[in-house]
Amino acid sequence: MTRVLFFIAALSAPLFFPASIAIILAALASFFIPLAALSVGIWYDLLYLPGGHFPYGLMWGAIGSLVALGVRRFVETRIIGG
Amino acid sequence: MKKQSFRRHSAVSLLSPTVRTAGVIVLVVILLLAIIRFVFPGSLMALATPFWNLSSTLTGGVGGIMDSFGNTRMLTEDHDRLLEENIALSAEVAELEARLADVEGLVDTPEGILAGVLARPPIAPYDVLILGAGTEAGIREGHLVYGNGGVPIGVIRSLSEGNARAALFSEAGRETPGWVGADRIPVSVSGTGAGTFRMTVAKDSGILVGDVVYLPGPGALPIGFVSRVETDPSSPDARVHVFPYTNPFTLSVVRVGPHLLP
Repeated sequence: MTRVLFFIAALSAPLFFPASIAIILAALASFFIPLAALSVGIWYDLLYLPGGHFPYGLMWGAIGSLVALGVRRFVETRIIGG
Repeated sequence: MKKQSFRRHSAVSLLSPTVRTAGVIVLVVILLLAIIRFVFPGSLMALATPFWNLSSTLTGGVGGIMDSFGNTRMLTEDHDRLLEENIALSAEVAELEARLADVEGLVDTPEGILAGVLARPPIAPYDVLILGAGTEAGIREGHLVYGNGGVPIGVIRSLSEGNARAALFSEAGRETPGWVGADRIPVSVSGTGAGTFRMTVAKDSGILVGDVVYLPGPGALPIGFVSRVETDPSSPDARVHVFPYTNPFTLSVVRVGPHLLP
């Protein structure tokens, strides 16, 4: 339930909040669902990207998801390692 | 044998099945939305428009609630002062309307299409305005977009039937040729995001603080004035900062066209 709420909040943020708050919500959602950052980045570009512009949303979303995956692996390894 | 088992376990423990499934579902939904955007461009904007309207309404409501916590006496004084100003301005407007009626037909009335702004910076990134009018209203790609007072602020970059995306001239990294001052010194105006501009000119260009900056439109249209000139003894160039007339953060209505970007 927490994961769903964070994810819904992250996807809604591009419609209601500035990018800085959306990034924070996407980072929080990525802690539970790593691909959330990529989804929010793609969603940003779908809504706002004008023609001929570099898709920074997609780029930063992909980087955010990779970082989230790395953090998850580190945390899980620490838990398994004791 | 044990080692292989460890590697296999390590490989699958990166993501639990639930998280993998959730992530895949999310990506599939986003990809479907991407396909919808490119096949039916207007449908995504139509889907987002009610949420943008709600966002604007909520922003205005929160501002109104915060204002109500102000000092009551100060508010009353402000109210009385504004009422007096309103009466004086109404009289002035009536006189100007009478004068305008005398010369109507000789004065060019503003052309173009009025469009409401659904989303603006900082909610909309890429220095973009999402407008609530599109091809149905007669808007075309390349149409100039004007803010308050006829100040050119951007150009229509993409559009659908009921919506349009306007890219602002202040878009980071965008270079637009223009002029500065009464002597119309040619410059290249660089966008630095959020409605702001900067220029790099020769130190002896003669540009001074207060000089007006113009962009091409029908003629030379003022967009702001020089607020600061920074020089470095080791460099032959000067960095000029421009204070814009229009704040894109507060735009609610813009005029589009009829002129195209030269």
